[in-house]
Amino acid sequence: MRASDKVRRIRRLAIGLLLGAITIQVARAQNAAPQTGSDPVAVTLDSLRRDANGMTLERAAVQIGSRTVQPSEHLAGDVASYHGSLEISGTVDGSVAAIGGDVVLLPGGHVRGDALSVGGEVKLAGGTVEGEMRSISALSVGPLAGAQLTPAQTTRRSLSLAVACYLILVAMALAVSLFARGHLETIGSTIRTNFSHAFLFGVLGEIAIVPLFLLTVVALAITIVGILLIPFAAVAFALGVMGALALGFLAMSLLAGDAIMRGDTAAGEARPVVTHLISGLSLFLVLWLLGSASAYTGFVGSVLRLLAVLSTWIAATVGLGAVIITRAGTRTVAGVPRVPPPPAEEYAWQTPTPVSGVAAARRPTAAPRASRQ
Amino acid sequence: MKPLLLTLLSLLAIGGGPADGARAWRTLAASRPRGNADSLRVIVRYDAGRISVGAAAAPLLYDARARFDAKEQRLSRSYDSATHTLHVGIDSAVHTSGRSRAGAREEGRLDLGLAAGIPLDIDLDLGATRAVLDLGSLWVDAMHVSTGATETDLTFGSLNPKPMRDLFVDAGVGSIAIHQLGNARAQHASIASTVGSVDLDLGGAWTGEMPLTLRVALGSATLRVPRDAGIALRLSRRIANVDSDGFTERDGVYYSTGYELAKRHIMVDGSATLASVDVIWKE
Repeated sequence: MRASDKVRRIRRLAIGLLLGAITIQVARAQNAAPQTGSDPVAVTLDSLRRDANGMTLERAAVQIGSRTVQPSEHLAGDVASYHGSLEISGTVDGSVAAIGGDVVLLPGGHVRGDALSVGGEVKLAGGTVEGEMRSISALSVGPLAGAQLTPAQTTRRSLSLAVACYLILVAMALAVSLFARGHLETIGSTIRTNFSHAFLFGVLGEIAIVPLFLLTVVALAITIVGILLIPFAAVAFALGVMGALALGFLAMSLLAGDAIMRGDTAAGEARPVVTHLISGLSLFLVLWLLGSASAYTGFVGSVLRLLAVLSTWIAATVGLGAVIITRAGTRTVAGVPRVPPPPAEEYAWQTPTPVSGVAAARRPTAAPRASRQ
Repeated sequence: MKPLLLTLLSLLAIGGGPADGARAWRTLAASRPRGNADSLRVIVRYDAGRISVGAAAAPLLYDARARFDAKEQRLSRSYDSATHTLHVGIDSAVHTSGRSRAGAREEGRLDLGLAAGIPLDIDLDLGATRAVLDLGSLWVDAMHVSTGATETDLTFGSLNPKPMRDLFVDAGVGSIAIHQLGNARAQHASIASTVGSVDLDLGGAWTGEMPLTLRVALGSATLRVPRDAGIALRLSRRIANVDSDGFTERDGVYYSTGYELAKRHIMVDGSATLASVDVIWKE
């Protein structure tokens, strides 16, 4: 079996496993959503109870349609109407509520508790309320977006985030491979030859980010005039840090891609940098997707997420260190061969010459001029 | 690459569905008759939107009206009749997009009316808000205001019936303007601003002494002082500019011209760090 076939088979297997895991997890998460009953009044009362501005009512207190408490009536508990108004002319010792209607306090009407209207108003037309008068346009129960997400929402959000980050990095990879390939290769070479050195510089760089930022702000603030520049400096600083991290991470992804795709490139053949970059990024994506999809599998999910976080952090840190060492790929360090810029059309006649030796092509020469003939 | 592309498309289908940008606006009106309440403590936590505080109609203890996006915000309100404490809070979701938060800030609002004629202890914790606090005709016994990124306008339109025990304003980032501060009759006022501008109008129908602690950093403070008042500045300056033209320095304190002869006195203590403090005389 060729090495490239083996790589492809492993890739297919990983993708199959990944999709399977995601499908199972999403299905499981969706099944975890709370079930609701079929009685609309009971469902509404449950929502009313859970709403921060709602009220707890017994089912027996609710009458479907409009309701009137007569002047002669003196009710001990709560009174409510569902899809109708509630008129009070008598006395209610508890609270009153109209769901989908108004609460009207007519002369002689007296409520010792609260008066609540959902989708209507509490109107004082001669009556009194001892407690709070409250009207809300509609119920607003359920979890806030992002505050208490359901397992399905959490899984979807994590997956979306991972894919979005991946797509952004792919776009950056394309841009870097087009415009700063030489820099990327230099950073990659530095990582390959000075991994521990790069890691150390990366950790130091991460530690120095906040003090460096504060120092910049203070330096600008001291000049008074520079205070105005602080917001711009903050943005520039953040962009610089993110750019350095991204460049370093892409260099690490390229190395990872080189390792994965090693068997796909024939000896002497120039490796397709973009493909290798995307392959390397995909490796990280797979880790994150597995971590996101298995968010509710307990220990396994935690291990996978930890693995994803750890590997990404190490990659970003080593990459950042290499970016610092090479000044964003503009200089080489001792022991690291300088990476030549990508071949331009002018040098296209040159043929790579491996150690085994390959006969060089003849350099094209200009056609002899007529005058020389 | 084909399986990879298919995987990506599947994942996008799973996780990247069309975002539902629709809002779920809700309105709330909650009021309570004053009954036998002889004081009111008000605790408000409002993190995005416009907020106004003023006087409620006569028979009411409080009258709160809010508009909020139920999809992004959660409004809670409670009243403890034993301690006469009203809690009103609107919290925004943790993971809201910048656009959503900006929308909630622009269109969400809370209007709070409070009973006049009883002592009020007001505690406001504001996030990214625009706040208009008109405390004229209210009896404010104590007031604490903490703001995040806020544009705050605080007015003491009329003389407080009794001296305020404590006035504490801590503005994070943004601007704060206090009008007729003298009407608060604060026994002690403390105004702090971390980044931004402070505009203090020290006018109002007050007499005697007004002790004021002012801390400004990374910004500016403007003190608008009535002509008939004398002001003394005792500010520790750290890379700061304090407008002391026409002031006389004695023992590290800058006194305005005719300070001793003035009918009323303002003593400003505090600090200015990377900031400027200006004094403007008003008629």
